[in-house]
Amino acid sequence: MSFDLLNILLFLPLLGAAVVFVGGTLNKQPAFIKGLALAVSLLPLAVNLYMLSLYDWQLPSGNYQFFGSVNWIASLGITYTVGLDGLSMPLVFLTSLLTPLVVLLSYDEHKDLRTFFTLLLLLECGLIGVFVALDFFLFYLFWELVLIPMYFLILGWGGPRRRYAAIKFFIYTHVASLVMLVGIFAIVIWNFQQTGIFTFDFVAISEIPRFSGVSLPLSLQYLIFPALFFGFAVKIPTVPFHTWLPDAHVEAPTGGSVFLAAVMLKMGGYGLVRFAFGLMPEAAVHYALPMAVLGIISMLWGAVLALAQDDLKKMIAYSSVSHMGLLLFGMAMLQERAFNGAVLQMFAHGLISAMLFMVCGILQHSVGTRRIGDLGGVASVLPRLSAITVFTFFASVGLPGLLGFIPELQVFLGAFSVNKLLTVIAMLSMIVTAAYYLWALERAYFGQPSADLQEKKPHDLQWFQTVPLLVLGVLVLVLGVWPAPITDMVAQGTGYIIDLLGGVR
Amino acid sequence: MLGYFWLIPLPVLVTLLLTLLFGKQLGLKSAWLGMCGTVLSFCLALACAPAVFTGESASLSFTWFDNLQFGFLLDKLSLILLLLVAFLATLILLYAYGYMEHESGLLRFFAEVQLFVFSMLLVVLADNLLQAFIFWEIMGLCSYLLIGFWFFKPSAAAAAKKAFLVTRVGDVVMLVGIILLFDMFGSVEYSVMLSQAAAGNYDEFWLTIATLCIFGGVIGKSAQFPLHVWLPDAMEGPTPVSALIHAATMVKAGIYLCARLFPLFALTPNTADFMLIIGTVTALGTALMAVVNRDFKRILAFSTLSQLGFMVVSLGALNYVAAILHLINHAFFKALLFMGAGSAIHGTGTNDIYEMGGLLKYQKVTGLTILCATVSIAGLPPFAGFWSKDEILLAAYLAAPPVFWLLALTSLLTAFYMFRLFFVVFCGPKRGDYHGHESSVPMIAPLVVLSFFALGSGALTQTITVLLTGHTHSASTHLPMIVSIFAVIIGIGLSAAVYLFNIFSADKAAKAAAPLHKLLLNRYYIDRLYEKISYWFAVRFAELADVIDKYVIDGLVNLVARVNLGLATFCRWFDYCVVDGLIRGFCFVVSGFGGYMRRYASGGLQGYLALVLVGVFVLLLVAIGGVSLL
Repeated sequence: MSFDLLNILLFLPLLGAAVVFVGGTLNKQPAFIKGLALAVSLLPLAVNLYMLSLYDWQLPSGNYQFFGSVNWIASLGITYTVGLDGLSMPLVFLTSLLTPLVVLLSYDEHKDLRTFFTLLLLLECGLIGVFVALDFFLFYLFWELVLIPMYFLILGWGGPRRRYAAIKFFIYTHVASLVMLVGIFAIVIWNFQQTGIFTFDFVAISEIPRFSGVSLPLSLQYLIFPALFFGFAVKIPTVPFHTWLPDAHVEAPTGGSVFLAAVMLKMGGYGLVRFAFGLMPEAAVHYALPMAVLGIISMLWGAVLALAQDDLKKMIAYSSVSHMGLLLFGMAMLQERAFNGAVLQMFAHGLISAMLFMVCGILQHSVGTRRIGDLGGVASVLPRLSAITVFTFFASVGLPGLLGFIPELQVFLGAFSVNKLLTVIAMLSMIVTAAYYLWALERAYFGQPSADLQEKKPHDLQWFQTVPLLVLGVLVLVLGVWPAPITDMVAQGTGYIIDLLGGVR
Repeated sequence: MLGYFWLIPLPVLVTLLLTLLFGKQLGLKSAWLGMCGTVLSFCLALACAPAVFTGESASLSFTWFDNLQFGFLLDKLSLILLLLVAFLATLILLYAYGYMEHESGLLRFFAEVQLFVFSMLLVVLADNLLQAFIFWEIMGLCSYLLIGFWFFKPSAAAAAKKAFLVTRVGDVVMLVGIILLFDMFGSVEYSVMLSQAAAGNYDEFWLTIATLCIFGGVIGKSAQFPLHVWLPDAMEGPTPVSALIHAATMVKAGIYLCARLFPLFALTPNTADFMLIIGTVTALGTALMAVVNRDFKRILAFSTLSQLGFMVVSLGALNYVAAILHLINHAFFKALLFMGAGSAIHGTGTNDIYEMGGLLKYQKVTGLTILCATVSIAGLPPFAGFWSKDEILLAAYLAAPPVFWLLALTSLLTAFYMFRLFFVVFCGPKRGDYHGHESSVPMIAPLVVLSFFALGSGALTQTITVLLTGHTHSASTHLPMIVSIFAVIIGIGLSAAVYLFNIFSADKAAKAAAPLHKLLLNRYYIDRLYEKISYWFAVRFAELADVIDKYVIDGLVNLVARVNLGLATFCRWFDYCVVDGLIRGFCFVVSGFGGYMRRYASGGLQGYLALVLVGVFVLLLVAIGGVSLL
């Protein structure tokens, strides 16, 4: 029963994509397509909420729920194995929550709605697949599947330099995925040599060290870990592999940016925890310091670059680099609280960056530009949008009481007991983050509006823009005040990995 | 009642939510709603008072998340602060009802003020440092939003940003301290930390670092040198905000926190010495700036800085009771001064004290209440300011005599610049062309109430000392008191001589000490220095980083792409010219030959016949040749 539920959740968006495509072909009324897409995108969310109500919070860490495994291509040892735990559940929820919100937000899109919404739903399917797949082959399949709709979203609905951005995005992440694939093959072949079973089933592979005590030999781990890390690091993205991100964001349509920042970046973090740290804890410990340093460099470099941007969206893109640095830093500290904070950061940044890109997209739709230098005094003209922008920016700054603060606190609190100096350096990013957000607020939103802006009489928030922002805003506030549900879930998901890491030290 | 002490901040939260819901309809009446909340909170706190002041205390704590605690603690110290905050917030909301009459954006204003009051109450009630930090930051947000209330004014927007960022620097340092303490004691709950420290379970070096870091947060929030720069600019906010946040409550949160953690500071003499130095530098340095400034509210802001410096000195001299006493007195008279300033500015339409003059004629109530506050802050016996300042001077004298003498000089300056303010604004001839009139009742009623406290709150000195320490305090020496009285009298006399009787000319003095005057007017160029540094960092360095990112890091990526593209182009060329060339060459030969041969397949019968004949002939020849060979 529960396995079926997960299958429904996974393939409902795919079915939805087909329905929207066919429906949109039959009836070209924009209102119809929008309504259909919204209805179809709400179904997975409903299923997901139902699954949340069934979720077992008491299950010991390391066990999957809604788990099921079916042979798929038996001759190659490829299975269809899916399952959820505290690590993936928040991210799956994030995906299924964001899809209807993005559909709603895209209500003022005009260009080829049918294809647009079909691509969004395909993207949802791929993303959920990445987070639930527990078979290396299946995981890789979904991992690559995600690229395709995003590529077309950027190419079809993007800004002026969309060709360059789309191709750069695709090739860069694809090359990284191939390196990762080599690592995966190495693991599978090692497993074959050890056990005589040729399988891609991650659960089966990961259970071997647990029961027989044979884990990957160190020399092999030290080789495979960097391969997987490279694949995931490009996705996170970690400095110096981050340059595709600002380009992709600047050119992508708002809906695409929301998915890109909120969910796609988390694929890297998720893969790192689940596969790299989960299978090769010794290598993770071995490479902890370089990873932590990379994380700190990302935090500071991203923040400083955000300071330099004149394009609001590019600033937010660099802020994503900076905030994802916290993720890597927290994980690499190999300390329980910091690790949980890092994993929570994926969810928190998912919600907050979605809001960030939404307010930025709405601003551009309404005013026609998002260049800070051309703006100024927006708050006088668009008071409601500005109010929610201030909220969002402060959530991203990490104001206590909002969700952004919780992972930061956990990471710093945990990391400090491991390495005081690195933690203090990492904390400097808190100041720079506040600086670029407040400076942007001062220049773009405060001050006197230009005559041009006043004449234009731009639209303030409309209902289909307010609803997504409100839903996310309430979540950010409620979970910021009372984070126990989400932190408990994350702790349940990461517990066994932390045990593995701790067992190694 | 004591069991329900955690309800104290709740009314403010409820009225905050009601304001958010109905503020649009209520408009200015939100002030009354807010007052309901603060009055209820005040009453609740008052109801706890009998039990708490007889020695009971109450706490409540529960797990928040990830084994971190969230809790409330009510004891004498926190109750005194709760009463003070709720009381002042009520008066200031009443004042805002009058002051904000013609403003728009009232929903925003009142909601933010109430959020501030709520978080201030929770800072005071917190039973652990982390929770205090959380609401400390939310106070910072409210301060940011309220300084930038008139966000369309570029100066207000800049001041708001400056305030948040400067305090943020202190806050991050403080968070380091909190995490360090958490690391040392396994908890940041006050009771746990203090008992652990009392039991000696600490490393002195790290405890010193931790207390220094905590004090770093205080330097930011309570605007001590070198992070004092934000407070004068914060005067861009509406006057009720300046009175509530930037004079009476928020800037005191740091003092309160130090008082809470007082035993830790007592264990780290180096930190205490550092506090003495910082407090003295701030007190004297900012008092000097107050002497030359012309802006009514800015003078008061410098004076706030200076008085906060006194409190920090007192903490550094390890007499936190004196700091709390001065905190209370200062809250009364400085709130009064700010509200009076608002009334005067409202009446004259200018901030420049030299454009006011003779205002007492038009604003009797404002003028007289400000006089009450002035004598109190100047430290004239027997008014409130005198008592607490005397305690601080005594503590400083016992801890470090040089600090005492510098503070005595600061006392003199305080009396001087406060009376300068009073004489220039309210006495003498009318200098600006304003239509003076007294402000409305909601604005002056709080002034009248506060003037009683400003004059008389010194009477509470002994009571509060007994409450906090359990015994009365008797001075071992009277020298500091005598010196301070003399200093005050000299200060007032000088001020009167210059600004009331015009015996000396202020301008001449300014000319005589022109470099000093310029230095003070430019605030020692510290602001300018910070601006330079932040410009270099935020613009120059960030641009450089951007260029590196664009051309080096991304350049590498593009280079790889370009190399690949070049390789691909070469492959295409090779494929086309060499591999495909061979095949095409072969085809060319074949098809060329075919084309040549086509000529002979012209369709003419004679031609074919001829060819057949030739063929037969050749075959015959071959056959013959073959036979002959055989």
